[in-house]
Amino acid sequence: MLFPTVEYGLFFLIALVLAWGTVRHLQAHKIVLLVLSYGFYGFWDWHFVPLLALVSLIGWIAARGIQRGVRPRLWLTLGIVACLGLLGWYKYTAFLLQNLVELAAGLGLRLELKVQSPVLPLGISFMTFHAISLMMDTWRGKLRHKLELADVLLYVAFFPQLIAGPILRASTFLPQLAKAPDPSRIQTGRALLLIAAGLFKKVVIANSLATLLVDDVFANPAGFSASQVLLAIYGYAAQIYCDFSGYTDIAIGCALLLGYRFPDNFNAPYQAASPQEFWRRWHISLSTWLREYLYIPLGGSRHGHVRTQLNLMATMLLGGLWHGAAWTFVVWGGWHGLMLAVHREWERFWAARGGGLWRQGLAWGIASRVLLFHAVCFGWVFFRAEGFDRAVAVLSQLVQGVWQADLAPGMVLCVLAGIGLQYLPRRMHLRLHLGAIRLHPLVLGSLFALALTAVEVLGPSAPAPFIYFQF
Amino acid sequence: MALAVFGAVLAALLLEAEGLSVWAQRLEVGLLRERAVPAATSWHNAVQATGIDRARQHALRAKDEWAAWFAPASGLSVAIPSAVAAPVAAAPVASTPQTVVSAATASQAPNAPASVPTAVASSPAPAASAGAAPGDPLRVVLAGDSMMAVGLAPALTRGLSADKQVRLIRAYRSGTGLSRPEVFDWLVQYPQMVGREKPQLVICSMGANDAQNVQVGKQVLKFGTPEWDAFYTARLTGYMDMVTREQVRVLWIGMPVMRDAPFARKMSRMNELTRAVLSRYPTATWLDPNPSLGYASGTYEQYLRTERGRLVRLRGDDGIHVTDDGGLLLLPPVRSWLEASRSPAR
Repeated sequence: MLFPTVEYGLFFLIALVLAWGTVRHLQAHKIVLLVLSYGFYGFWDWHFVPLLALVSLIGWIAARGIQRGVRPRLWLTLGIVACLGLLGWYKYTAFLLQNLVELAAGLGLRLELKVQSPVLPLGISFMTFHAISLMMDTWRGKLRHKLELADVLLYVAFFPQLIAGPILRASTFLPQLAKAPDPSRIQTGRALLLIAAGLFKKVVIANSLATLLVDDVFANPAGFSASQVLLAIYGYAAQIYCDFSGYTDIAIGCALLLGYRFPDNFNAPYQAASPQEFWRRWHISLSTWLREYLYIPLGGSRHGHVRTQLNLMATMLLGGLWHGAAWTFVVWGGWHGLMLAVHREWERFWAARGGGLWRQGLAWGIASRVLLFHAVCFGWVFFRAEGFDRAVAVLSQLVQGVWQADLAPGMVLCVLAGIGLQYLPRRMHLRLHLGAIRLHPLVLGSLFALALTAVEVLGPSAPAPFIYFQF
Repeated sequence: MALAVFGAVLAALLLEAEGLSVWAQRLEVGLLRERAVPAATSWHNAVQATGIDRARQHALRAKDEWAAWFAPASGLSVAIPSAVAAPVAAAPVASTPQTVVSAATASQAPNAPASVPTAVASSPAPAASAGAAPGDPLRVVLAGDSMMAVGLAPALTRGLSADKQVRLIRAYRSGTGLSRPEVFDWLVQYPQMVGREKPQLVICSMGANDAQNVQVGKQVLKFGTPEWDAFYTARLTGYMDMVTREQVRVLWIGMPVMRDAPFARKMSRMNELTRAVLSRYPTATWLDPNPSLGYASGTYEQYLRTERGRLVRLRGDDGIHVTDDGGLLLLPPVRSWLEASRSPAR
């Protein structure tokens, strides 16, 4: 059930009615949301519903073990190992075996291993990360009240975030389940704005870019001019942002209508002037998760300069691998790790020389943003390409291909919109939000329906699934 | 909130009456569709009478008029012009699977002309180049559903883009098939997709979405029954009649073995049906992809081992579509067929 479908629209309407119809009875309300969430997941493939329950149970049993205080470290270790084991089995088995066979072949040995990856359950990375967050937050004493099984099951399976996030921290979401949501405090205007904006970004911009430009160019870069290849690289930068942030906006909007708050996941990432700032703005819930549960446990920046750089690189490499079982993702993570490390050195260098006043000027502000955007685009080539050969072919075509004025104006517009929307002043968002609040509810609803129609009419007819579903 | 949601639902029902009707038609044949189609159609008719949905229709027409503005200027949606087509022979990905092909289909010489492996033998037909001016590239359509769109088309495009005597025309659409014309009617859409191009050859792969029940009038035809077979045969015949007009030659790439056993059985049945229909067309050739993919024994494998012990991933995570590397394994038989089609009449 994709978000931009009639099926999801009907499902969500039923969910709204049932959830608010039971809101006076907290337990019934939570059970309704839980059943709806499992139904939502089962709609994809019911075979994996027990797996969703299993991951949640592992998290709950380990967290309860930690709370009881008897050998808590053992419970934490067992829980994390079990969750990562499941993730590894489903996501990385074939990758590991394939690399073993390749390694052996490189050494002149022939390994007779049958390599077959299991069917990848949708959203397994997200459910695993939620379970780990639950155990870690309990370990750190952020969850002191007795954890109810129903709450934990709902935290892991809550349908707006189940398939592609945002990743909720247990310590921020579970307290929301302690009391029923208040219908008088629902920000309907903001929620509908987020859903409409998310649909526009996903269906109109991301799908158009994917089906009319990016997929074709990345499939056969040699068949296109250098200018089209460059536009496709920019196009993918716009596509992945609009695709993922669009999904997140819809998820946050739906959760808001149900009375729950999700954290922001994107904050105009292509406005960033440094790699560090980029990761404070891009997939915020993942970068926060990685910082809290990987970088800091590795030692963070507490053990000297070299160790900090190593921790950064390890975090980004694993973050890259989380996105997919392929070396291209590792390279993408490594590239960002390298950028972060170089930027730290750069900052240290200028800090030792008084900061460098010129870096506060407008020219450097623009130059650093342009530079970072292109460095990020370079990373996206590896992220998007099916393999290294293809990534190299894409980049080579920029040098070897013909530069000519053969760009479709509509595609240029989509790229500009996908990237340029992030430069809209924040006060414009606020004005829209305030304007939506002031509208009569019926007018607000009608405008929302008009926006849905516009999205339906403007979007391409060819299907394009969400990029982040595969992670 | 309740009032806003109510307003949104009401306005959406009015503005999207036609869209809902189309959605209902496209549902899988079953109880939900049975109920949804009459309700959505009645609603659409009622709204149409008020003229409310005219704005949507105007918008859709305007979108069609502006379509060229969004279509890529060159190289992308229609064809690969030789001016920007560069050789890909140096790409290592292309070379590895070709090595594998010789291992997988050891009994066949990959580049031997007119030796398309395990294909339905086509009777003598005029060469595709017969009607073209000397020096003109062959206009080859890539048609089909996602089996063509994912894996096959990228591989064929890459593999053939160096050949300046071939001009590829893209006419594939994911999520489509021949069995559900109310969802996507290939007999109507294909001429529009091909446009003013006059193809000489068609490479088609379709059928992965077709193994489902269909509704004809009020009768539901269940997949696997003789009635369904007759219906699908008629649909495929209609498509082939249209495509093979003017002696256009067709290479139909069948469905490979699938990971899921029940689905694999369905696809095997689709192959039988398709093969039977194609055998009636002298200009059509049916290609079994399984030997080229190393599935000679009929067993699904995600990876293929090369002679050097390396692994090549053939299939995507879904166990249905081929990867680009898998698609490249089909390049030799496709090339052989192209060569045979180019040469003078046998």
